[in-house]
Amino acid sequence: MNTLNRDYDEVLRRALRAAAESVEPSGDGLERIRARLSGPPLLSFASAAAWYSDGAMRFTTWATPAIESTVKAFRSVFDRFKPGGTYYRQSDRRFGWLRPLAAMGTAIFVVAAGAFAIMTLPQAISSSGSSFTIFPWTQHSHPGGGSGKSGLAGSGSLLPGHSSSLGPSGGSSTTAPASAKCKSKISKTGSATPSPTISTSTSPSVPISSSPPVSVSPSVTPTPTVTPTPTTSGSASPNPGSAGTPTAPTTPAAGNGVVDSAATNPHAAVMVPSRSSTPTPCPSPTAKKKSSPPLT
Amino acid sequence: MAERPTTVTETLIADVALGPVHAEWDADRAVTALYSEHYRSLVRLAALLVRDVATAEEVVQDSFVAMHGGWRRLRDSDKALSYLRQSVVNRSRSVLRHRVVVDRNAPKPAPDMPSAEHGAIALLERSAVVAALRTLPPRQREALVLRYYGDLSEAQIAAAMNISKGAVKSHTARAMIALRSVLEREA
Repeated sequence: MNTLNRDYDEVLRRALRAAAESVEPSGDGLERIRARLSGPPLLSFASAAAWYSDGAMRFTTWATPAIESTVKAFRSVFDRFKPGGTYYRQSDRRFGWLRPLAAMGTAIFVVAAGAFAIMTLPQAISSSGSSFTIFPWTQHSHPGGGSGKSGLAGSGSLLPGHSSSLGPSGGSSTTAPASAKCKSKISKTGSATPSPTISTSTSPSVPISSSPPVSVSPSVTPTPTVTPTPTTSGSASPNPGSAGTPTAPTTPAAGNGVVDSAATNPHAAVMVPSRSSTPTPCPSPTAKKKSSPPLT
Repeated sequence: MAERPTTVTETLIADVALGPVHAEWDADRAVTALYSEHYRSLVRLAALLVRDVATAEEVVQDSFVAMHGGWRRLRDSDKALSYLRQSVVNRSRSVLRHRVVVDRNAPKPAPDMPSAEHGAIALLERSAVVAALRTLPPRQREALVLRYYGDLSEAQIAAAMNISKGAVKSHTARAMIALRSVLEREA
């Protein structure tokens, strides 16, 4: 046994040496080593191979069960919901009618939600915006103040039909004469700083703060569209049917128109703040609006 | 020491063949001296392990570079050569591990298009013993190569493989049994 082992040892030794002697390394090994030592530390093949093999083995060890479990989960879901699947056939006998019902309900819900969103979105946007109105047709017209946001929406509306103040006529179509004059009066009696809203709504050519509204601006012609309809006093408020009646310059209704618009429109009150340190009484068409507090 | 056939086994053992590697040498001179004495034998050792001459050269050159970096720690010829052997064995393991991954994932080349290393591998595997050695597990193959090609002692093999002496004996005995069974089966 020992001699047999010794024979095998010798056989193995000779074979290994014979195989090793057939290997002749290249002669530039030292130059390569010196080049590696002098140059930047490059990632050699062996170290890269070791790094890659370790990383690959770790990744495959981790990723293979994860991928298999994911595929299994997707496959089970697909088997459950495919039309000819086992679960479908089992549930088709008792609850098969639930499937189209659920589809119909889902469709109805989606349509209703979309319609509700379309209806409520413009109002939400217009109520959130302060100076400009994106959808002016959604506003309600208020009596006495012209449109509900006459001081603002009329001047800042994006639609050309509603931008009555920028034209040469000075907003004769939509701007109420009473409110315009009242604004002008407020600017005259109030602080010296002019309001940009008023300047655009009355006339671009005339400075607003110093000019009386009636005499200077020809654009303050009363129009029936802006005059308030429900009149209680009857004396100061113009009639909607009487277009062009010059009630605004003579009566103090102009100042009251501002009060009306401010009372009805909070945005107008925001844009014309503290104009009149001494509130001028503007006769309001409504008795209720006469008792409204003055602008501060 | 006298029984060891040093004339045949080149210079894997740091003895008189290397000569004095002085402690006061700098790293460059140590690399030059160790290269001139051990580079060829180390490349052959690595070639027996990785069965590829070019990769074996890469492995040995990497080991020399690493030894150059750690020369302050070594400062001794015995330590340096032991470090080189251990580095060669470890890097050869890494190469084999990488090769396993590559062989598992990469498509195999066409048989009519042999690679550049195919000739060297064929030369290495001319012998039936070397072919049988290829069938062994890596640790057993390392133990046999270090034992019968490098003529290292069990302690040196244990240091190179970073295992205990008992493990070296176990690997060597199992490798010899497996090799014998393979050779007898082929015969």
